[in-house]
This record gives sequence, structure tokens and C-alpha cells, in this order.
Amino acid sequence: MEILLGLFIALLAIFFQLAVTLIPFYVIGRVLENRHYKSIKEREKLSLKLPAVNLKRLNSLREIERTELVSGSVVISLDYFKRFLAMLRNLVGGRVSSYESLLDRARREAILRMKESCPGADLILNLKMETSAIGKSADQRKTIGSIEALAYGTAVYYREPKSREES
Amino acid sequence: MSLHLDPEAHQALIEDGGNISKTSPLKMLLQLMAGLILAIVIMVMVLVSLSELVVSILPDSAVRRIHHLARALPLEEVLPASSEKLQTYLETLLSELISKSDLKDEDYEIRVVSSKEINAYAMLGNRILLTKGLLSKVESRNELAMILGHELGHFHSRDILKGFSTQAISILAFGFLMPADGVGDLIQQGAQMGMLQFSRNQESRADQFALKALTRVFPGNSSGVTDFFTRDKDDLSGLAFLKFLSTHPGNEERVRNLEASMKMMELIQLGETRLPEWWDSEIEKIGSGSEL
Repeated sequence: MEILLGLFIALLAIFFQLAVTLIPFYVIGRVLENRHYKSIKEREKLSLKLPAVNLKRLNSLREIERTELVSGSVVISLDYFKRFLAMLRNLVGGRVSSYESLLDRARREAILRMKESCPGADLILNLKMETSAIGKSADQRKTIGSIEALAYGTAVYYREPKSREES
Repeated sequence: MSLHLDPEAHQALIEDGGNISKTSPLKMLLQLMAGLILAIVIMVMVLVSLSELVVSILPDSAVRRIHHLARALPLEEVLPASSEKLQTYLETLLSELISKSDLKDEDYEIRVVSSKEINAYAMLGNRILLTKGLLSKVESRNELAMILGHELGHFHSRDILKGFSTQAISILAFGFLMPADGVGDLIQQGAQMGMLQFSRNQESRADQFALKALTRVFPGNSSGVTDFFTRDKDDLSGLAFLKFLSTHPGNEERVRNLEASMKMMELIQLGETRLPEWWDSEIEKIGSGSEL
């Protein structure tokens, strides 16, 4: 019984030590993530007037002046805490929720950058997304783990309707 | 065709962030760690009992053979005591202890290392290693007999073999099964820490063995058996929980256990048992060469 108690205390000591080293990374990662989300939400609200959809064709009643390929991409890195949590999760399986927010941020940021690259457009068609792990090392130790999200699509510019007075 | 987008629905979607789990990461960390600790505890228990089982079913002849084979390994940096007198004294004391204990009559070897460290080791090959630092700290014959008896106790309960088999089994378990990343290392570290807990038990058992052997060799005088542990009080007076991390039980605990057994065995303590007069000068001669 004494051995069991000793065993528990020894393990607790190891994990406590570990938790102490993890906490600063958790706090920093959290602050940065919250700041990023705040910016994402503000910019998403501003960009609502430029819809991005994955339709391939548009039978528009309005005349299209021109279309162009637009893209936006972003690379976001893991923090130490998230990686640790994911490594623990890897042992037992299940939702790796510490990576969920990472991917969510990357995708939304990529779409925002794409939209911001064509401020005058009326619509983005055929939106596509790609995600890749940089260096394929997101789950390896002592290597930088980061992901890239790329959003691309076709920006559509409508021709300004000629007013009746002019014609 | 026109695209109708509902701005309100979009606003809600932006705020909600539906692609993220709502669980707090800290809570998840705690849960996962608690699970991991439990898993390690179970794993350690299984590993240790497995290795103890393996060693305990070995016949005596096999154990003897292992020690015999290990004896063939050279100990180059570890020189025998430089002094004939000292070596003879140690060997005589050791053989007295062996002859009165239930150890099978085997060939034990004592070596003295010129290290300043205060330690004694029981090694494969029925070898006992004493450091110069330890010998210079010893002040009475009973103390020395306790130390030798303690190491003999490790041979008696096959602790060295148990240690090796635990190591071998854990190398198999961790080397092949565990992922070689941060968490794998963590589990290994935790498990090793856990296994040390079992060696603390072995230390107490070896103490008891030493006490028994001593009282048989020198009946009627058990003075000084706990001296060695009470002398350096400061070495383990740190945080109480750190004692759990140590391989040896805390000195106070050992003294307490020994005194309890002495009381039970109704031992009497007569005057101090002396070391030979030449002791200090011979220890000095060992020289200060290699460190362990």
C-alpha cells in the first residue's frame, strides 16, 4: 500500500513539474489565439458583403465585367501546450480538440485573406480549400509543427448597370 | 438566379465558431494525465511483478551460474583494496557474516574503489563494491558489518537479478510498444520512477537481513547498527515527499525500522565496537584515483 502511495506521489511530482513548464505556453498560446479570433470575427463581419460560394456556374441576370483567380493562404504553428495535449490524446484516441481551433483559425484566415485580396469584387465562385502540414512534422518532437491553409476561387466583378437616363 | 444570403445567420455562425470543441483544454489535460498516471501505475505493477516472478522461479543453480558468468567480466577501473590488511579484514568480516546467515556458501568478492562518494554496491558476479568515502566515514565494526550485511541481503533476496530483469522487461515494453516521442519518454520516466519505489522495499528488507546476520555473528552486542544513518542527518532532510522519490528509504525511517526490530529481538547494546587501530591510516593509502 505504501508502495502504491509512493508510486502515485512520484508520478504526481513528475506531472506537476511538467504542468508547471506547460502553463506559460498555455497562457501565451491562449492569449495569441484569442487575439486572432477577435480579429477574425471582426473582419468576417466586414466581409459579409462579399460572399464566397462553391458554385461552379452562375447564371446571373447581371452582366459580368471580368473574373479573376484570387487566393489567400496562411501558415499557423502549433504551440507546445497544444502539441503536448495532442500527444496525450494520441495514446487513447478521440477528438484532438487542441488542433481543432488551429485548423479553424487557419481556414477562416485564409478565406479572409482571399476576400481581402479583391475588395472590389461582388462574388467569389468555386471556392476551394487546401490544407497541408508543413514538413509533415506536426506530430514529431523537436520539429516545428505548422499547417498551411490555402483558399482560392474565382472573383466575379459585375458590370455597373447603365442608368436609364444615360441610355 | 440570385444568391440570397442571410446576414443574421452568418453573424451567428461567426460568433459561434461551430468547428471547435467547447471542452476546456486544461480540463482535458487533467483528465488525460489522470488516466495516464493510472495506466502507468498498473503497468509498473505488472512489469515489476512479472520480473519478480521470473527471478523467483529461477533455481539456485541458475542464479549461481549467472553470477559466475558475470564474474568473468573485468572490472578494470575498480582496483582491489590497496592494503592487504584492509582487504583481509573486510573479507574476514564478510565470510563471518556469510557463514552465519542462510546464504549458500558462495564465492563473494569485495572490492574497494577510490571514490569520494559514500556508497556501497552489490553487483552481478557476487561482487560487493565499497567506496573509499564510505570506509572513511565508518566508525565502528558493527557499522561496517551492517553495510556488508545489507549488500549480502541484496544477494540473498536476488535483488540484483530482479533489477536486471525489470530493466530488461521495461526495455522490451517501452522500446517496442511506446511511441518514441515526448509522451513515450514521459511514460518511461514515470514508470522508472515507479519501479524505484519497489527497490525501496528491497532496501528495508536488506537492512533486516543485515541486522539478523550481525546479531548471529556478534551475539549480545548490537550497538552502533544505526549509527551510519543518524550521522548525516542533513542529507535527506528535504521536503517530505521527496523521500518517496528516493531509492533508499529516508534515514530516519530506516533507523525507526531497525530500532523496532531490535526491540522485538530483545537485543542489548553494549559499548562501542572498535575498528582496528590501523583503520584510518590504511584508508588514507587507498589514494584518490578513479571515480565511479
